[in-house]
Amino acid sequence: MSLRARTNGWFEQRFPVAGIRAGLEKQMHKLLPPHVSWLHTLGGMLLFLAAQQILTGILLMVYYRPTTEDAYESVRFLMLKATFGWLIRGLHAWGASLMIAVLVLHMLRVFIMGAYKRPRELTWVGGVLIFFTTLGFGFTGYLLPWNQLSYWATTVGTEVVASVPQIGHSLGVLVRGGEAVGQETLARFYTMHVVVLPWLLVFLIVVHIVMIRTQNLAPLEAVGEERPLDPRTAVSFAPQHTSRELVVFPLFFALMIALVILFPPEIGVKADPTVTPEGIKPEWYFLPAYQFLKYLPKLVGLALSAVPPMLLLFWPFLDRTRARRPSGRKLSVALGLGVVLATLLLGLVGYLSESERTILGKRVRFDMYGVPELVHEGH
Amino acid sequence: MPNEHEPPAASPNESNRRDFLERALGAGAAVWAAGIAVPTGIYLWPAAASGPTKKYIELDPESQAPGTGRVLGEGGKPVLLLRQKNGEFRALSAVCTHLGCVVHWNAEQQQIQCPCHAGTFTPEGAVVSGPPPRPLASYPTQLVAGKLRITT
Repeated sequence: MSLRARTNGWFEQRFPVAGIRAGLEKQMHKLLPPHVSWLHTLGGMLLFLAAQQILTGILLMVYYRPTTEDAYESVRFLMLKATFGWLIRGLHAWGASLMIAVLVLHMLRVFIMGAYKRPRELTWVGGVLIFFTTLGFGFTGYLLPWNQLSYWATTVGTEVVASVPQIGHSLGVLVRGGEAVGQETLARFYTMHVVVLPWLLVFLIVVHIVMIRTQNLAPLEAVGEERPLDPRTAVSFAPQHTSRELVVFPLFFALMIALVILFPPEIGVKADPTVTPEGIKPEWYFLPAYQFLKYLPKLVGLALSAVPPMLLLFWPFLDRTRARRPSGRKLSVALGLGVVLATLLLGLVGYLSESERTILGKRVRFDMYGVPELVHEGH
Repeated sequence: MPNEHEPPAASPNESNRRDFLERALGAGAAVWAAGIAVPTGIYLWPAAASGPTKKYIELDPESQAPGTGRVLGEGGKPVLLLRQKNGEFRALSAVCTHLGCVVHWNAEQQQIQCPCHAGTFTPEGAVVSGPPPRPLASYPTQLVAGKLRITT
């Protein structure tokens, strides 16, 4: 009996190695529907990004200090002194932005291919919860460097929470740990960012993957007309799909490193609670909501801005049509793309608002509503 | 072959007893969970939510020239202190009533301005334009033993 066989035997008596291995083998060689393509690597890319965020996040925690005294200085130290600190923080910051972008693309893919329809409604709901959790990571993580931008973006963001009628003020105090953003807020956001949200995310991801694996990826046929997979046309998870992922992941990682080097995240100016700088804006993925709130009275805007997330969350229960192919559901696809375009447009207007830019050789100033106005020279 | 550890088929009475025990266990677990949740909720409510302990700011009135305004940060709440041309002081909350940004005095335009969403206020704190829903709160000022005292 070889040493390897004996070791395996020893473990087998104590832990079900063979059973687990057989299960993994079965999962690896699972057959996927024939239309599974490069677009289906977006989900795997998100898993890759989540792992990257957890690893770089752990490394950042080694040097980061969550106090108003030290937070800014510790990020500065990390960026300027700690060897490769700039790379770790750069990957974490860019990884966060790209995770949101890839999440949106992944949801768009699932939406257009009608993959959320029966019996995969809960996979969609869980995916939207992953999206919300990721936005929560963005909001809490943005404060941690404790610079002017992060301090004031958090002040405005938590003030929006505090303007909810009746319970708003208490809610604001609970979120901030006091009347204004300060040490208590930093401690609360840090706890959410490094303990609560990561466990929530891991839980949601596990549930999401279990559902995908037990139901398999959605075919393109309409609900109730699904045909069993034909092994001659089906795509194998390994090696066909995994080899696509092996092409996409390194390219994506290389793109991220390039972005970190070309556009490193800023250190900024240390937070000063007595001076609000001009042009405070949230991170790009909150810009559409930020701009939307400007056009409406506070309460109306707040009430209306809760509608799109709810529609997104419960969409599979609202759209009960059976067709999956985009050609058979032109109205839904147009509606989805329309919402995406409107969101992008709002975000762009939010980005341009309250700034002065040179467009086609002319100085243009955009007011808070994004209305452009020519700036006359010598004025 | 029947398992010898299998309990004998329950009589209707026994099944009631088991249901009761299950319900009692469930209720006990709920009480326990509430016993943990309530103190946790109270713990999360900030202990110092009543605000800063210092109730007033004192400063030398001659440290600020007439016709100027500045933001005082000590004591937790930012305060905008304006000194009019005639030498009189006015203290206002420097926190914009819209979304909490800190306002500043624009001497050129004789206006209080918010940098976040272009809200403007009169030197008295009333809203001139922009999204702020309420005027800026004003704080009483008095001279105490040669010092200007702002009660916040």
